[in-house]
Amino acid sequence: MLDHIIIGQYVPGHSKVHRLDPRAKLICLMLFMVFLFVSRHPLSIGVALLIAVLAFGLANVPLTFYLRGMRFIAIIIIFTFLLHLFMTKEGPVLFTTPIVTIYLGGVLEGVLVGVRLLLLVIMASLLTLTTTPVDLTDGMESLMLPLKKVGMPTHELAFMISIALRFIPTLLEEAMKIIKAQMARGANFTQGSIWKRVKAFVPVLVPLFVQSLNRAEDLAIAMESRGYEGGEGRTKFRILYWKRMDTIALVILTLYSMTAIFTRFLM
Amino acid sequence: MYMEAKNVKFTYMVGSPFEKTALQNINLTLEPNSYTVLIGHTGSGKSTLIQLFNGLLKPTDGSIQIGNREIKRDTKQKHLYDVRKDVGMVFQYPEHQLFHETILKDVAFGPMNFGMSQEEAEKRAKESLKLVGIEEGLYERSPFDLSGGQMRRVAIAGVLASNPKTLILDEPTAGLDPQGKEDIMELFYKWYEVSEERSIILVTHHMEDAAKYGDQLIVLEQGGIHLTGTPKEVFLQGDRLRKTGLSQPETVRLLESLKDKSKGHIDTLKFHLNETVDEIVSFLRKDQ
Ligand SMILES: Nc1ncnc2c1ncn2[C@@H]1O[C@H](COP(=O)(O)OP(=O)(O)OP(=O)(O)O)[C@@H](O)[C@H]1O
Ligand SMILES: [Mg+2]
Repeated sequence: MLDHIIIGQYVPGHSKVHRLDPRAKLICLMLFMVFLFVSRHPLSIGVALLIAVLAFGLANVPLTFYLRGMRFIAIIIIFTFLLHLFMTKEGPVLFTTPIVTIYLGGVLEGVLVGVRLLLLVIMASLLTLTTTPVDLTDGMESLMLPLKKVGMPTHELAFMISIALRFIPTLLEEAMKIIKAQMARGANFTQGSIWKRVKAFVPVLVPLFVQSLNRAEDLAIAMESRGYEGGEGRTKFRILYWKRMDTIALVILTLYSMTAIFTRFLM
Repeated sequence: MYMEAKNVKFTYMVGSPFEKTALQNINLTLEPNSYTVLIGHTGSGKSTLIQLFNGLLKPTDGSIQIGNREIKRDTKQKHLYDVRKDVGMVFQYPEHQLFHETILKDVAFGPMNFGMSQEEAEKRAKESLKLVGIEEGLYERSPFDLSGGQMRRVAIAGVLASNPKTLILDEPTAGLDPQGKEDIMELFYKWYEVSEERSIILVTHHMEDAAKYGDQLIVLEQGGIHLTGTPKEVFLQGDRLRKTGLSQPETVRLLESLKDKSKGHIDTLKFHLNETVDEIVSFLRKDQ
């Protein structure tokens, strides 16, 4: 039932995307996200599409696996598309029905927002699919380093994020176990009214919550008993190396950013 | 209840990079009123197999018969729901499924889901709680206030309360102390003996329990059936068992090493402590 959620999952591999420096991946993703929302012109949307296809092709993550994970996202994307389709009242009228009038602007806006969301999700999940949580944290921590000067607890922040990411699959697995145990006791999650179905999840959420609290406590004790006391004076076992591939990736994303700015503001 | 697996195959996460075939070529029959024990190394597919027998998983290929119902890969969810009425399942660490405000309500959750009235469900719940040895004074308390062992008992009562015909147990005694383990295993046996209609399928890593309680043993290895037979038939084949990472019960190992050292006539297949002691005593007498 929950088998197909891919957020936070890592697919082991040795592709070019896997081997990129996590810092490079994080910066690239950030640039991509920011300038995706600047992009309006077909040219820059096209470049964004090209980058996504390229990254995806290089990552070597099986397509079918990816598509399954997208099922839930697809619902959200279709919903936003329809929302924009019906709510935007710009440009020439395409056709009228007694209930709604569809404008050309609505279609364009809907497609634009849909494509943006899709690309966003594809690239964001590509990051977690190809980067181990440990690498991801190291990357984040090292990028946040300047903020440490102004008193931000960067190590702790990065660590929290990585623990959260690390426990998403565990939590799903646990949820699945509890769902099965309650199903064996006759709980029914797939029949009845919406209200009934929502209520059916109480017997799942309560134990899940209890176990998460217990686990958090256990984790804290385990860390403290092994001498963990935050980032102060902590040295690294894994050291990140910036390679040529990373520079190339960054250059590509910079070019894209410039295209986005140019087509949006200067054309 | 009669159960049968015909050419069953099961694959997890079909079509993903994590695809994993957990079971293959499984053919089994479980007679009514039988006590079947599944043993096998970690990851051999025991938990997967029992979930197929209670409609929580559907076979990727082949079919499962439960009573007069048949489950195939395209069986409707509603159909599976009916199966679960007759087949109860105690998962590993069942105390993780407790959720209600009071113990009594938690135990009555199953029977009410299966269509009993509240009154009837509470009556059943009280009977089951009595069977597992939870005192009446605790019924209105929160299940989260109990000790681990008590929580386990409440969770087991929650499964028994639905009055299943077949009870499936997935390592029900994991993490309990020796006395607690024995109490719980005896409790299941008592439940089993009450009626001719009842069957048990037990998954365990305890060869002693397997030998003591089982009529039929099934040894799984890497998703296939490695050996089946009565405890005597299976535990006679010490070498084949050791090859799959399993062992014989302690009593058998003791008698076998005695036999090896003394070259005497000893019947090594004794599973109860008394029988074992008798065998040793009679051996010593013969020697003198
Ligand atoms: N939800 C799942 N998704 C993917 N693979 C799984 C899943 N559950 C089990 N497996 C795999 O299927 C195989 C059989 O697992 P199963 O849980 O049935 O073993 P088991 O015999 O019960 O082991 P144990 O004695 O450790 O409980 C294992 O290789 C396991 O990794
Ligand atoms: Mg198991």
